[in-house]
Amino acid sequence: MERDQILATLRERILAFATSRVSRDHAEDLTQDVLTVLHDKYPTVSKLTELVPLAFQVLRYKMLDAHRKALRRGEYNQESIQELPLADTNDDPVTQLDQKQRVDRLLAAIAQLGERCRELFRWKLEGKSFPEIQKLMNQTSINTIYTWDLRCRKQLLTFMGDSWE
Amino acid sequence: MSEHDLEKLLGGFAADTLTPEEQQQLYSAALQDQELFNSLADEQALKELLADPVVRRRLLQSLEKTRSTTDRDPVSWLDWFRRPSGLAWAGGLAAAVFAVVLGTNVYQESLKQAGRSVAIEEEPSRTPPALAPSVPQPASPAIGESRLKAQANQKLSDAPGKEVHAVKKKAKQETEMTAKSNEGQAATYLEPDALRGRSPSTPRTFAQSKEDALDSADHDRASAPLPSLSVPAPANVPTTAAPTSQLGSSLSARSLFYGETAESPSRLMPEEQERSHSAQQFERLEQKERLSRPSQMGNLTGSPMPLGIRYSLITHGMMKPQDDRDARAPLQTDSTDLMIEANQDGFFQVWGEDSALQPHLLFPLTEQDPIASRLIAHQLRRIPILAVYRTITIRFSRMPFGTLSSKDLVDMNRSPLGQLQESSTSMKASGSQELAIYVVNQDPSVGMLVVRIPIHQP
Repeated sequence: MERDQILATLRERILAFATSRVSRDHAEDLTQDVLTVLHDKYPTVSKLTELVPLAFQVLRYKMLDAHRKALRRGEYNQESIQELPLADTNDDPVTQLDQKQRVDRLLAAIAQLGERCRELFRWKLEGKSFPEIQKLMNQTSINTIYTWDLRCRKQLLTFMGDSWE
Repeated sequence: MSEHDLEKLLGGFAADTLTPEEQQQLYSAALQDQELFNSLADEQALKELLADPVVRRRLLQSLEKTRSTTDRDPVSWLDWFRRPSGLAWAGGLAAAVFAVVLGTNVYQESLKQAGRSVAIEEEPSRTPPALAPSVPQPASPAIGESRLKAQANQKLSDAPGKEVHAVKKKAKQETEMTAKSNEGQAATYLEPDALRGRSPSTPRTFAQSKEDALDSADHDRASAPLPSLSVPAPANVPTTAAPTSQLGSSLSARSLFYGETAESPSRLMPEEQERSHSAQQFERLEQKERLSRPSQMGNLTGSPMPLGIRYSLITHGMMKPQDDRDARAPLQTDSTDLMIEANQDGFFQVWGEDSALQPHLLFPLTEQDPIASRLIAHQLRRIPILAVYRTITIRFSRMPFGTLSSKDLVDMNRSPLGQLQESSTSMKASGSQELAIYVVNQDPSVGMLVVRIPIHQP
């Protein structure tokens, strides 16, 4: 699959995803921003297995930027920009708090998982691939590992409140 | 891998543990499937979180801590129980334990009931008759019908007075009734006047079952040609006049009769085997038993067993009409069978008295006949008695008899001391009754028992 072909397909998917989350106009702008970054910043990345996850990462950043920009412009609370402090280059406290809360929720959700799910999640955090986990768990079929992982992921998502955010 | 199965790779996307082949499959599918693409975009938040080494380390520490606690914690047992296989094992084990406990309870209950029934059967036999008569025992449903039959039969011979009749009915309720199917002859046993006031105290005992068994055997041996009528035990039995009669005593003649002889070794000896002994064998056996008996009885009871006999009278022939109002009138009969049984091995003689002054030896034919007069413990013997005799006297001794002396003749006519007497009425399957008299000397050291039985008063 050629890079341009991948980017064209990615544009369609990103636009559809963004439209489901924000308005159509903002989705168009968001998609264009993502493709601009991929085109300008990562012209050498052409493999599918590298370009698609890169597109997901850029898309998430652009969505967070748009969210912060809208907050800064007062689109949510209509406050005067003069009263807002200067932006810090590091993560703002809100972002830090959000990440801390997500980590806490994730820890609490993992604690509620069963032994097998915790073991599976631990090996994944240790960087083990599914075939390696299959051997570690003495399973003859890797589909068993896939199924267990899917169930554990859904269970974890439920414990997290049906959202990773 | 289908698109649905590709969703299973999402977990590996967030942890960034997918193999190149899996990544190729997942991303290719994500470009074709909007839902999968959306899912991957949503998983990006978790992937970003897990990409942070600090967060990953915290998560790993948390998981390690949880694993170490679960290794020590019995919560793993709970997890084991949550699994279907664990639940199946637990359920099966619980069912097996329940079955074992239930079976054990049922078994113990049956043992208790069996023990209770044996205790109920043995308890009345140990109850002194003097304590029981005022309290009528509740009739069990199984023997109620036979008791009614007994009452109907005894009406034929009851005294006319209402009070006597009431006492008699009470006595009948207390008497034991047993049923037998192979009864060949009809016999009616009538109660003597002297015992009517005491018979209600007779409880149903296990010993009476033994009586019936022995009676049955005796009936097989004694082939009575005609339907017979039993003669009541004598109205004025001398033993009842003894100062230690059962009226004022807490001892029961029947319990003394049966109580300590259940394990008598000679009881187990078959009659046929005994009959096969020749005279020489008998002498040797007698010497052996004389030597062994004291030690055996000493081992079993610690003291010699008191002498006791059980007898009943069966009269054959027509019963002359008599006034029902006079229950004390003896029966007029043609011939009588004396059924006698002893509680231990010994020797016995039967003497008869008629109008002549001196008593005649009715059994055995000669005074010194140890074989014929031998009486094995709990083996019934039938002695035919002619109706001409007014009184018969039974002499029972542990030792063989010698020549009758004048002192013996005096003893025969004298009322013995220390003898207990008790009557017991049992019901046969044919509807007839048997009145058995137990006579036991309370003094175990006494070696001879003399019982006078009035038969017929002209």
